[in-house]
Amino acid sequence: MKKLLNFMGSLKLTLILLTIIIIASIVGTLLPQEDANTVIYQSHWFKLVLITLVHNLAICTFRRIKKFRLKNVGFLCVHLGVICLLAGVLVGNTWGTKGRMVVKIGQTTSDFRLQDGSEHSLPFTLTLRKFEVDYHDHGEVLVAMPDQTEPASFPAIVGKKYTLAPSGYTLEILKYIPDFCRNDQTRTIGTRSYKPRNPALHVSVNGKQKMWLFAKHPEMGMHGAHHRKKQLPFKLFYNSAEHVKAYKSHVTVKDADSSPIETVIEVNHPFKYKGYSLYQFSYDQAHYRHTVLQAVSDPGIEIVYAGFLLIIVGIIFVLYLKPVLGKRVRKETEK
Amino acid sequence: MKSLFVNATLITYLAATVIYFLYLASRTRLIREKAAIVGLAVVFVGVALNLAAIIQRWIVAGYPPFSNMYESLLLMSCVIAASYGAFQIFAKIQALGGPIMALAVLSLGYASLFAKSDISPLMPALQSNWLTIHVVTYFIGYGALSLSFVSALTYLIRGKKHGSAPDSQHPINFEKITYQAIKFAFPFLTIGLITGAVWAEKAWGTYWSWDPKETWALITWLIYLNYLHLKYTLPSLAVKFGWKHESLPKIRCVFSIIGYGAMVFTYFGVNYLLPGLHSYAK
Repeated sequence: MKKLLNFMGSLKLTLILLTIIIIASIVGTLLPQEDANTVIYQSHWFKLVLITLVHNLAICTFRRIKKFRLKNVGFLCVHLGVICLLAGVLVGNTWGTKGRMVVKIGQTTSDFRLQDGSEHSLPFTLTLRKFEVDYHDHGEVLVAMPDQTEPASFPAIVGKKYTLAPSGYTLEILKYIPDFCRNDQTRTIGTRSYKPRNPALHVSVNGKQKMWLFAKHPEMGMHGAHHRKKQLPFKLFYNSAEHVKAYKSHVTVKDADSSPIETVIEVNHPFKYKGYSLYQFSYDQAHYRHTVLQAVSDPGIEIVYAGFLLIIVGIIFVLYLKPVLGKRVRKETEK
Repeated sequence: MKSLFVNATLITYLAATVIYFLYLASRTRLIREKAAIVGLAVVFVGVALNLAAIIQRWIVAGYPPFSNMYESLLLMSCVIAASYGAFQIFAKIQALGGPIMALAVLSLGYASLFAKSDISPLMPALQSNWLTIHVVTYFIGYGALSLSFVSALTYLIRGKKHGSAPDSQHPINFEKITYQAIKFAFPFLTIGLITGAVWAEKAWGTYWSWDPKETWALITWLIYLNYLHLKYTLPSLAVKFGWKHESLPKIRCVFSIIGYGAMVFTYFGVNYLLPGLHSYAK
């Protein structure tokens, strides 16, 4: 029995368990993510390995606490940190919830769907007022000079004005339309949708010659009515590969206890309320008519973060401070 | 966008490599002493130019330049050279100067020749202060690990007795340099791994999703964790299996090289072979 207890708290077992985790993780990255989750990361045997590791570290830590010395502080911090981390994960997995909310524009809901397909409700309601995609730019305008092999590129940012060296011409970006359409009766220009199916850019050269550039029909812009007025010494093209700046879900949150809260949920800017955190996760890529939020309630997160902190402090102590302190103590002893 | 600073850095690192290989080739004590000092000065000039290239790109792009392969290789060459320079101040490791600076040249040369240097705005997930903290801490660790790799390789090839100079009274033990470099790097790897998890939690609500990049980062961390424990476990294993005491440093060096292999795979291999959340890093 004593032999078993010694083995359960031994460094040998720690290294065996860490090696098993290394091999399992390598195999996991070679499998499709869903299969890896089922066969390895979420499997009972892998959880057993992690629980055994916690057990092993707990015995080892308990032994060191009994024979406490200042030089062991770092070691204890790291071990307690790993125990906290894995305990926090266990608490989160047991009592936490995580699911996706698909909310249409104008819809009010509190329901979200968990990974196993079951429905769950938030302790408040949420209304999606607006969903928008902000862009750094709408692609680039390419200016091809006859004497240059590479066209010059200018970010397609509405309102920006560029000087085209060496000709001295100016180029101004006036308007962007994602899905260009023209009503022949009213002769008005508009967009069919928010999706860039037929992206077009209205530009002005030298403040006089205005023209539309079409990403999917490069020949159309150059043969526009205005363009015939004066032949330009260069050709303009529009490359509509846009760079998204932000996905924004404008929501109103209501519950029985307080007045409505209006907020914007973005990637890296979750909204936290009543034990739940809502994250911008995905969106309707076809029509921009709905957003997908991730709803998370994780009562173990503080324990996990405490574990992170303990591990960092402990490792810095063991590897950086302990050798310096050890040298000082040795010097003082020699004196 | 490729800057003059990048070309100047490349030339300086190449010059440092040549100087350190001259150091290795020379048998004259005076030349070796001069080469060690001049080499170190050239390394620091290179690091300053490399930093200038990074800062220039930061100003032009308007965001911390750590978001794609070109930018990360620019940082990688800087940390490799800087960690070597810093270590040479404290230990006479100039025998490692040639190969380690060749590694910095390789990193910057690959960036200049093969990686896309276009500046494109940051995607939403990368617009966070965690980007700088996470990447910079990781790369300081990667720089020191590169030194540990070269040091371990030198130990395995040339053995314990190869010192900073053939006539040196106190030959450098490169196995110890390997251990010191890993000891320095490990806290940075840990902070990098943890800040990555904290950032993922802020961005998506999941601090760990077994994404291939983060899993390989964990594998690398665990291999180095095992390496750091070897000094406690190897002696008893040696007694049990009858290994010679002299072979233990070699085993530790081989272990550290395996760790470096995992680090390189986490950095490069995963981006191309195992796409996941970090697929922008190509």
